[in-house]
Amino acid sequence: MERVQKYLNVILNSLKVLIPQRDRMQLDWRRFLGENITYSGWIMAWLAILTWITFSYTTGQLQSAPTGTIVVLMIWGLTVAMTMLAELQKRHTDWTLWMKGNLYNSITNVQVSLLLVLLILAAFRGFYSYAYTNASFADAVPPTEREYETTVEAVAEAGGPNLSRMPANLEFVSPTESITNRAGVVVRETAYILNEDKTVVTVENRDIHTGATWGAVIDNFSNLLIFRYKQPNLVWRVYAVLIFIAVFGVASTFMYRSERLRSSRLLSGVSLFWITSPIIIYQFLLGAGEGGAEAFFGRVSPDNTLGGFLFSVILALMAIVISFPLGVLLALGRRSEVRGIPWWITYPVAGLGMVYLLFTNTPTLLEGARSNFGILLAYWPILIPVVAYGFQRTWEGNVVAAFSTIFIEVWRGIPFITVLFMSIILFPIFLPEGWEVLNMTRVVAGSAMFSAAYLAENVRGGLQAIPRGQYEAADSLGLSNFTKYRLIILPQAIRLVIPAIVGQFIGLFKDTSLVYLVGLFDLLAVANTIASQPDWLGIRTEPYIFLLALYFVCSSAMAWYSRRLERQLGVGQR
Amino acid sequence: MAEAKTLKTTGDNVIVCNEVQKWYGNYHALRGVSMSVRSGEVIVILGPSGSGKSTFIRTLNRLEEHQGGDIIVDGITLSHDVRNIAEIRREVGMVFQQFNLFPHLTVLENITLAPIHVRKWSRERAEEVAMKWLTRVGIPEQADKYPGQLSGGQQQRVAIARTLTMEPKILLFDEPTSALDPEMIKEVLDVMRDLANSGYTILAVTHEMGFARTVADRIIFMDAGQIVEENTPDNFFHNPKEERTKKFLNQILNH
Repeated sequence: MERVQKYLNVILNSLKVLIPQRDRMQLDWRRFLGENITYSGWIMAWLAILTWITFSYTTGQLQSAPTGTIVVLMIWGLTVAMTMLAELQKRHTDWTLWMKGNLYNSITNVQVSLLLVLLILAAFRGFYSYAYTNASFADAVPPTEREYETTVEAVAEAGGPNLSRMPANLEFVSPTESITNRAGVVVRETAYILNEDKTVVTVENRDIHTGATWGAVIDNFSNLLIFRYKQPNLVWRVYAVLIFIAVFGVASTFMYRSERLRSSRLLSGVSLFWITSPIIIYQFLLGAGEGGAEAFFGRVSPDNTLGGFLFSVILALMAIVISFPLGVLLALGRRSEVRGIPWWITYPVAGLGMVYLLFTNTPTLLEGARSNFGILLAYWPILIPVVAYGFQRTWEGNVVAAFSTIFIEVWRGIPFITVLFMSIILFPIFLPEGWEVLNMTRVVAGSAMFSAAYLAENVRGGLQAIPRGQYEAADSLGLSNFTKYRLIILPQAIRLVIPAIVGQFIGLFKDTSLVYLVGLFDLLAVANTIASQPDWLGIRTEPYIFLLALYFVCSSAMAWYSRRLERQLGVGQR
Repeated sequence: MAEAKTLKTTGDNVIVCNEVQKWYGNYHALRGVSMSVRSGEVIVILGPSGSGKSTFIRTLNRLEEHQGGDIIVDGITLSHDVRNIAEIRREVGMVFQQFNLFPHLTVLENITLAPIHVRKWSRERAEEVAMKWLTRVGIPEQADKYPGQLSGGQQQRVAIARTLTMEPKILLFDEPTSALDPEMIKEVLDVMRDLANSGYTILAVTHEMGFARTVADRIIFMDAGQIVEENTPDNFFHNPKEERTKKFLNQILNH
């Protein structure tokens, strides 16, 4: 140990000469080791394992991809040395202080930082070669044909069929060799032509790339984004929407910045328009008929045309826009303290209802009953007083709170996928005959209800966090209940739960991909169809990577916006 | 000052309470409180903590519901009728211990919110009156700040300005200085003193004995949900009638 210390001191002293300094470096190695390594056997074992992993991994890397690894190693060594020197001299620069705080604050972290950087490098290198170096960007899998002369022996040596026993003048020898890629697509086929003079012509039909086949995504780009709305008679609607959003977006940005328009009626109108815009845009996209005013409202069946990313976004946005006010109302409803129906109304009404139904409904049910259970069920009106009792006991006759609570708990109790199936399969059964609601609208309604139930609980949490004093101050100033909630309570409560609400909306946006299971063509469904296109048989990975990127960008954008919103609204918070 | 005094003595009863009862579950918080306040009177309510004094003045504008007895404010009987409550709250302003400013609104927005939405004033008029009161309480330069950026004393003065902009006839102060640092108490008390001298009817729950002694027309001493003693400040502090009052004064004056 002492020898090591001596050597290190020599090295550090020589470095001292290199770097001009006023203060002496002081290092008590015994203390350094005691504080960083030898204080715990576990740490020493852990360090040893880590060092061994890093070392073996690094040497393995050096053989295959030296440059990157060597550069990383050099940078690592340099920065560690810089940090240590700065630490010893007690003269940190911003850089070394940052590195000390974030990368090299203990011996273990020095090790881990190297290992992690190397792993990240390897992952990046792997993805880079998959996604770029070895990838194909061609529109369709291009078969290139190569012919070259070989001998019978050469074919046998290369692992091909033994052609020496074959009769001469054979045009094709089958079975041909074929190589398939990971997606199951044939990328290389080899055929052998045996000439009369027993020479062989090898014909190779190849598209060899081991990386990604981006052609599948590029070819289907418009499919993935707007699905059948790329048709020329429909696509203008998408462009119109985009142009409108761009122009109106820029215009309203200026309006929001304008000091003169601050809290004016025009601005609240603009806000209201933005909030309802998903519904308007949905209607605009659906109004895809051509011709006169009548035909304008006639609809191409959107269940077959609206799809892809456009569909996912509209579905999510509509569900969000509808569920937000609904959720807030439910939250307020659940906390409402309106005077309930008194028991002396509820109980007599429940009793009379029971008697009435026992005399009218039960006999008919009894006639139709086919089992003991059926007979039992026929007496269901007996349950009415029980329910009435529960209602009075739990909610003291408060209908609003009872409805909100039951609504929230029921919807929170159902899995989302069940909601979707219910809205597609069960919902039409309850509709009067001759009525028809678009699949998409039904799914939107289901998602909105589902989301509203969760949102209500989030908002309720926010409401509970508002101090009583705020209510009292608003009351003592004579504000009406409506104004109190609109201007005082809700703005504060909602601002408190923005992170939770946005998290929920991000979840909702991603959950829209479940509509694939009930037969609607969202982004995921379109991506899955690519694998069955003749050109791109079996290719799933690349579309999924595209999906991943798209969802990630959208979700991050929402998260970023929520943080910005929090910052903006957080002004003057206590 | 003399002018204000005459106003006080000639006023009618603006608040009349008769046997007010209040329960929190099984806890009997107000046990039959009866009193009346004439227009322009300044009344200080004293009492040990838990004596029901805060609860009592909070029943006057229906922040707490009373379960027995009558409360008549400005000729209107407090009942479940929402219109009655709204009308009373328009005439009765309240200042709280914890200020209860709206943290998401600027000082000016805090003050103008109620006049615009309750009194239906135009924004211009509301801002004009608000600035007048902000000047009166001495902080017109803070109008565009948020409450969180002000000191406690400033916040309480904003709260007073907010209450006054509604032009109430009656002011209720619920321990307005209890949450303040000692050096900020004076700035709030000065404002209250100023208001008392300008003829407002004031009911204040406070522990500021100096304020009670110099400004109050009458002191009401409460204990255990009942009024123990009603007296002028002079008699209350120097010549109290009740044993309980003496004990209380002993405790707070000789600590």
